[in-house]
Amino acid sequence: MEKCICEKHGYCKYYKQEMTASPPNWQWCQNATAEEREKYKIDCDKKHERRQSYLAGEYITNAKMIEDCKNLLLPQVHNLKLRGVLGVPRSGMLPASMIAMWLNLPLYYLDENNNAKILSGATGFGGIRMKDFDDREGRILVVDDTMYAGTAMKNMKSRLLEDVYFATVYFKPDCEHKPDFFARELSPPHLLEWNLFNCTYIEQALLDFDGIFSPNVPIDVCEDEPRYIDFIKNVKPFQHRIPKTHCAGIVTGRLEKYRDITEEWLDRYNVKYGFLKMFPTDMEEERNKNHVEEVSTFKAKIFSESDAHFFIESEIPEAIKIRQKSGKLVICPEERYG
Amino acid sequence: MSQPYYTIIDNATVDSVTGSGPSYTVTYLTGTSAAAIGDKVIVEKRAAGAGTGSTVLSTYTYVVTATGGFLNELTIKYEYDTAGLGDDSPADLYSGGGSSGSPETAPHDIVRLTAPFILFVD
Repeated sequence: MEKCICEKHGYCKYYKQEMTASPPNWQWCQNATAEEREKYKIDCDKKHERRQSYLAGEYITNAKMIEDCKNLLLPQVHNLKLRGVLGVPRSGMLPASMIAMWLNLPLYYLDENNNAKILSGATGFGGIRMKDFDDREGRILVVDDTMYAGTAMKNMKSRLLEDVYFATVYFKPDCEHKPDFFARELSPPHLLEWNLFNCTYIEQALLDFDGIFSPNVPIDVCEDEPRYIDFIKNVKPFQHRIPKTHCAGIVTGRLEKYRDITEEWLDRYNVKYGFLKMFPTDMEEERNKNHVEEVSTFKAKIFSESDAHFFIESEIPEAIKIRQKSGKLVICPEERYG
Repeated sequence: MSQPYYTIIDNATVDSVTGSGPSYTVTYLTGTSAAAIGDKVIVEKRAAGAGTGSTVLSTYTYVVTATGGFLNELTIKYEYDTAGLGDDSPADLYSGGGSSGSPETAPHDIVRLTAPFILFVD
């Protein structure tokens, strides 16, 4: 390419990515030689190809993990002679506490001296239902949510001063260190609902607003502007969906005229994001006539033109259409299995 | 890196990254006031969640092009990587720590090249 084809910074069809003004990527292209542009185009194509692998990633919801734990892992461990269940902090505590509850066993943790200790809480024996549990024989079952390289489990094994069983809900097929029990194999890449918003993958995501960061606006409120404004100004966030780093961007069917209120709300709750795209106010009528079609088209266009890896959408019908229109990965937390 | 260098900032933790390439603005959790334009940023890329001792897939080199208005911010531009994978965001380079679902971003070493010794022999 002899010269830059973009009149201003923004999405570049040649490189298929955003060319920003700050950092000065658009400016770089303005001044680059044809050879430098060709070389960078090759880099971009490689980068996009690598990122395609993320699109095949499986999304595991909290509900799916608990179901796999109950249906696939529990039947393998319920007959073992166990004296308790120990969770690998933090996410391993989730299935560990479920298994401890289902089997009515004490829940353990590993102390700083590498001793397995009962999480006793208000009672010395680990909860009121554990009062009569007197079986101090048997092994402890150490549980984690996923095993990728087996490093966490290997470390745990080297620290523990007693013989234990190891179990994990999800297990990478070619993992070097195999657990004693696992629910099912899960090939990478995968996205896990319980840590999606505090992992760096979220930096490669575009997020819907209403229904993701906060509850959806009730229909009757939508039809009454003063109430609508009051609602979007004062609605409380879903705390578990505030990204711990930042997301690539927010794309919403909310109208552009509410930008100030929306930005103030995001700022108040410390939501960090790359950009905020809002539905054009002059298309309000068209949007209201066919909300799902119009809004999904709007979101899919921005998603397609961005280099974001996935989109998190709150509404199932819109999620389906954004998938169809963009051909990219769309996660809908409302869908049972994502 | 074949040319001699010395380390200005060792193991800087990345807080956030903006930009899609070839330049990126990186905010660190540590101060970067010691860095200067022309310094190199060295990053080892490993597979997400494979362990910090796992095989290095490629070593990336970026050059510092601006030191920015903030003490812990640098604008860096991709130069090359040892495996020839091509330009990538520092946000996509993992240390191997964390898990595949929650991988840690690789830390950065900021180094300054030194002029190679030239031996004059009369």
